[in-house]
Amino acid sequence: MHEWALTDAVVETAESASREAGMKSVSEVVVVLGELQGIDKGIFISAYDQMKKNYPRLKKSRIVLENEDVELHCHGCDRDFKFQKDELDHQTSEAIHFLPEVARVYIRCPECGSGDFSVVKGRGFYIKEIRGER
Amino acid sequence: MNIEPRTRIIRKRLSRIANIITVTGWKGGVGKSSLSCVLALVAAKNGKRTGLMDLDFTGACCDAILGVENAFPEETGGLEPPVVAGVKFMSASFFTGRRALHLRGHEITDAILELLAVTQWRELDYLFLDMPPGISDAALDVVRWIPEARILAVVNPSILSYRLVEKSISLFRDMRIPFIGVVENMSDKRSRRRGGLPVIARISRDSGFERAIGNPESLLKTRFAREAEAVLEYLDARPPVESLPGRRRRRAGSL
Repeated sequence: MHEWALTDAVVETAESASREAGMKSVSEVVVVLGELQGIDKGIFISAYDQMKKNYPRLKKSRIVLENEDVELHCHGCDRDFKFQKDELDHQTSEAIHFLPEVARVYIRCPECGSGDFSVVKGRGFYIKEIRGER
Repeated sequence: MNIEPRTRIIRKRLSRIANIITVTGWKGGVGKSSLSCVLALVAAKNGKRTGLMDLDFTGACCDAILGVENAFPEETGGLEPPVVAGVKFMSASFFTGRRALHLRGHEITDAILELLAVTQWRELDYLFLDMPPGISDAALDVVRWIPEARILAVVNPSILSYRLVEKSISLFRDMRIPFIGVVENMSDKRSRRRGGLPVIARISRDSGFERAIGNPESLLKTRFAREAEAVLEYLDARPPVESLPGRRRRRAGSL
């Protein structure tokens, strides 16, 4: 599963960042998941619980996932618009899941029809916080 | 605290690749993609475990050169690149089909980061990176995240092409980026008198190359491919130096 590669990045980063911050152990890793990439939370959590066993500071930690809605801004008409995931077919959703930047190929501004827009929020994933004991 | 996790995983993803070659040039149409594809095909034919990554997102054409149709990466703990004529191949074109991908600067950075973070190349002798023209976001990102990647520049016989690369060599030196040398494509007698650049191979204009596009077997039979063998021999004879004197290895990303 593609989520395993992303989770791999989270555990590697959480381990090294907590070590650099002088933490003895980590209790929670808070990860924000953007709606655009459509990461499967169940797989993400399961992958984290498997992988954390190999990282000394993360062994007793849990992952906390937060959602981030997508905000798109059209450069054609300078308006904000919403991402309508339900309107995408399976193949398109898969393409955006693997490489969110290709959203520009498939999504159009509902006002002016332009495909030149920016993802202001909710693209992919990032670590928001690492909680633990120093 | 917002931490980007993908930057830290890139080194792990690329850790089992012996040679990472950035095929670049400063003018469009000099043959960067053609040379990247042919070098990858020749390397694979010679028994090297080879990968090819098309990082020219807005002008991706390696899929067309190799004749890739209806392929898609397999999802196994990341993305497993499809194998085309013995070459593991990754491109954004898998996700766009025949549609153009129009990206702004920071989106190019995000797309490169994403593909580098999730692609499972595993063990390779060579990974060729086909770059867009010039020193753009893509080029600077590759330098930042893959400091071990060595630059192979492609020029055509035009003095414009030569002069742009000459200017860039001092930049590479300042940034401590390993520079292998220059391949002159569409070479002719005029350019053979031109100095100033470390030309490691010259490839003649090959009218048969166009007809071979889309067919790896035919590509390998072109004069272009035969002459490109010299580039691979040069690379085989000069493996990367693990730690160049005075070269500080950059860390991929920071908190």
